[in-house]
Amino acid sequence: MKMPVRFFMINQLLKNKEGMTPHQLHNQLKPVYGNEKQCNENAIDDHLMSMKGVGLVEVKNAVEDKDNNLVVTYAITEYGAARAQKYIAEFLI
Amino acid sequence: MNENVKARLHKKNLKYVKYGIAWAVTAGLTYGVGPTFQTFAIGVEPFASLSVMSLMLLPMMMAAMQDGMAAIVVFLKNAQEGKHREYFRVAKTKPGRFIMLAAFFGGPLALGCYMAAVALCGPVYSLIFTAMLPAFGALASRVFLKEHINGRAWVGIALAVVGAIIVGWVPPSGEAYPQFYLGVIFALTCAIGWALEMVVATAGMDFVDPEIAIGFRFVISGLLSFVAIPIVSGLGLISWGYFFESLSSLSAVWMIGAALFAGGSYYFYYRAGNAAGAARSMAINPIMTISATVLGVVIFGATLQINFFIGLVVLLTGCVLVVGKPSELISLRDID
Repeated sequence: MKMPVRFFMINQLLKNKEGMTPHQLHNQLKPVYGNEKQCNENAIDDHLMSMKGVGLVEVKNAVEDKDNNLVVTYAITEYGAARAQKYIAEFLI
Repeated sequence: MNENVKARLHKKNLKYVKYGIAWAVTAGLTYGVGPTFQTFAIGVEPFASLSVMSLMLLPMMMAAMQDGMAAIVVFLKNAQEGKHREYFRVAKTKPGRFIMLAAFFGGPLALGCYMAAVALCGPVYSLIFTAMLPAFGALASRVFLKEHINGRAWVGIALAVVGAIIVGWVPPSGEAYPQFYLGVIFALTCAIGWALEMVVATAGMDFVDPEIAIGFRFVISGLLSFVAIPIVSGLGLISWGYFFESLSSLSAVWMIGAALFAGGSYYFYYRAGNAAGAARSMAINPIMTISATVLGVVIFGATLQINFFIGLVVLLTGCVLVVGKPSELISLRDID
C-alpha cells in the first residue's frame, strides 16, 4: 500500500534539504499519486502551509515567476526532521 | 527576497491565518447548535422512553449515532476531494494510532459524558462547563507535553474556573433538572476527555492531513462508542437492538442535524489547528456558548439571570488569557 501523501512529501523534503516548490513536489508526486484527485498543486500548497503552521517546514525563499505568480520554496526544519524520525521512521526512505 | 515579494508572502500568510481564525469561529458557533438538535432528539420517541431505562444507555447511543453519522458526512467530503484512500494509509501508521487513542478520549469518554450532561443539566449549562476545555487543555499540555505555561495563562485558568462557578451559582430557572450537579460532573469529565484528546492528537497529527485526521477520528470514535453501548448501559446486547430500532425514528432525524453541525464543527476545528494554531483555535472555541445561549433563549424560552452573563464574560476572558493575548489572535507569525 502507498504511504499517505504527506509522508511522501516529507520524504521528498528530507531528500532536498535546500527546499522545494509546490510545482517540484507535484512533479515527484505525479508518478505515484497522479490518478488521485488530491494530487494537485493547490492541495500540495495547502499541505505545506499546514505543515508550516506546526513548524515542520519553513519558507526558504520566494520569487515571482514570469507570469507574476508568487513561487514559494519550502524546506524542512530541524524540528520537522526530528519529529519525522520519531513518528514516521518506518516510512522514511 | 525583494520588498514586493516579501509583501506578497506576508499577504499570503496573513490570509491563511485569517482563514484559520474564521474556521475556528465557525467551529465554535456550529458546535453550539448541536445541543439544540440533541435536546429535540431526546424529547421525542424512542429516545424519550430510552432515557429512563439506564443512565448511560441513551448518552452512549447518541454519542455513537452522532459520531457515526458525522463520520459519513466527513468521509463524503473527503471522497469528493479524492482523499478517501488516505483513511487506510493513515490507519497503519504511528500517527494513526495516536488519532485512535484521541478518538477514545474524545468519543466514548467525552461525548458519552457530554450527552449525559445534556440530559441531566440541560444544553446551555452543559456547554458552559465544557467550555472550560482550554483551561484543562493547558493543564494537560503542561503535564503530558511539558509545555511552558506562563503566569498570564495560569491567571486565565483561574478566571475560567471562577467564571464557571459564577455561571453555575443559580441553577437554571423554569426547567427542572433534579440531578443538575451530577450533570455538571459529567460535563467537567467531558472537558477533561476533550483536553486529553487534544494533547494526544497534537502528538501525532502533525503528519496527518487535518481533514483525514478528523474523518478517521470520527470513524474510530463512532465504532468505539457503539461497542461501549452494551457495556456502559449495563443492559447487555439488547441495547444494540434499541440502537438499530432507533435508526429509523424521529429521534434519529434530529440526530442527523446534530451530526451535521458536530461534523462541520470538528472539520473546521482541526483545519484551524494548523492554520491559526491549536492554542488560538482553542481560545476561540468557547464562543460555542454564545450560539447555544441564543438558541436556548430563542427556541426553548430559557430565562437567564444576570450572573449567567457576568460568569460568561469572566469564563471567556479566562479562556482567552490561557492560550494567548487577544492581540495575538489577529497578528501574523514572523516570516523568514
